[in-house]
Amino acid sequence: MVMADGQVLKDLLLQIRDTLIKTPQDLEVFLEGESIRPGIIVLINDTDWELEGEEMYELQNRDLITFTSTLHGG
Amino acid sequence: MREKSINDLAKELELLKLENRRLSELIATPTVTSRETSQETTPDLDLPLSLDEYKRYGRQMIVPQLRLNGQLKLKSAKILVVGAGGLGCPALYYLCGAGVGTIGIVDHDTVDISNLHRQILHSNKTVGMLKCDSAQKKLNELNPLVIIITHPVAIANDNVFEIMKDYDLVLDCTDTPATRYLVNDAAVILGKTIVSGSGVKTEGQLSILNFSQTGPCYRCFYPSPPPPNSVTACSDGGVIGPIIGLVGTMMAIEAIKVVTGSYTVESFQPFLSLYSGYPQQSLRTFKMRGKSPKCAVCSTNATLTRDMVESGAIDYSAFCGKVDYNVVDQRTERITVSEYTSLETKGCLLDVRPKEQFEICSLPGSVSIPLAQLQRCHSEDLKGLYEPLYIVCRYGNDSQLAARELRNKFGFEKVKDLIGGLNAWSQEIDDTFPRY
Ligand SMILES: [Zn+2]
Repeated sequence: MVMADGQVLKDLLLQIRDTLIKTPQDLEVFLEGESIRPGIIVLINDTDWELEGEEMYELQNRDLITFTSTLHGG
Repeated sequence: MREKSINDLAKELELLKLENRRLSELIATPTVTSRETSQETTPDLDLPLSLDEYKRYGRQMIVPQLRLNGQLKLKSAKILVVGAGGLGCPALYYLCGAGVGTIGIVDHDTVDISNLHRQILHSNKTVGMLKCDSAQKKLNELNPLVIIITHPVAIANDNVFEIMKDYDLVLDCTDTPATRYLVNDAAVILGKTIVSGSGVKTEGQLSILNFSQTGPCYRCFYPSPPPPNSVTACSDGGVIGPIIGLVGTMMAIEAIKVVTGSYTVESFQPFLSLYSGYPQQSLRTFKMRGKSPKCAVCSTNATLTRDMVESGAIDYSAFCGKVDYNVVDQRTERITVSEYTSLETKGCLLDVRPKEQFEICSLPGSVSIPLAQLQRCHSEDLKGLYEPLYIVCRYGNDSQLAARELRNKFGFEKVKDLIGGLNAWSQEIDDTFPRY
């Protein structure tokens, strides 16, 4: 995804919401309000986003951002 | 040759050290008067294992990461495996084979034929038996030296501490968020490390929680539970047997590592591993957050206590919630399968199961629009539907959600859904219709 300079992870979440997500059902899988919904793990270059400043993390060129759901089955 | 003799000396030294420790312990324990008169030990070398154990565990003891010392630690370890299903079965099998001294199994369920593709301790012969008993039988056959303790109960607020207290390590092989929070809280409060695994469809996850009471716990990772409609169970989403089996196997590896001391408080790095079986197999290991200073159970600011769990003040099912399927009028908007068969006008029969399930078997003449698709479509996509409209799914839950959707969003009026779904159809109307 192409982002302008100086944008933070929160901007990416909103850009995904505005450009990639088509239906309200898909939106609620991803966001709760304007924040990531519980049960989704966000990784910045394979590191928990909590260690990187979460929504305020400043995006760098070639960052790999991964969203993955917690699994519960066993 | 010289190297070999140094190795031999080192080994001898190791044995002497162990011997020394044993003797010191014996002196310190006045009640022990006679040594176990193990027939197999030679008079001048008091071995810490029986000759059978040297043979049985030799192939893992000669691995530098494990060694004799690791074997002795395994032998004195007590591990609790919660859940003897897709994760628990392979984990139990390897831990038993590896010679963990005592293994506890918690599972209240009985073996069903639909478990067998992944729950490898159970078999055709043990269908209907308690999973605890089926697993114990298989494990005794594998390694009679291991003590297997069974707890054939549903783990719950009022028994979790009693069950868990005597074990050193807990494997969370359960399958719902509510149970995972319960197991986590009790283990944290009792100071036990948890090896946690999970999986569904083609993916699995693995982590170590509350490591030595210094690592992050389940609540540090997930302070709030996921919305219930985002939780997929193996029975709904399906799972490829070896995928969940691989995660269970990885859990056994982590358990062996924890017990034999391959992680230390200094070296342990919180992690979450994600295994994907498709399209190319991959294992990614993510570096995770540490303990949260705000964690409700493991932080210094913790508010959650054993009393609150045991008294039921913490209601795990309510905390995690569940999908509310009860969204239609149960008396006027639903129909039983036998009422449906006796209708003169059958109308339009809409099957809202996922397409993979529709493909396995379906009623003649039924139309397929999966619920997920129905929730995302526009009215022009539904032009093929007409009234009276009857909706069917697997068990009669999703059909209610679909009926509400069709009524409220698309203005259908004559809509009813079939109580009990195709499962009821197979039980009450046509027993040749497959239940899967
Ligand atoms: Zn915690």
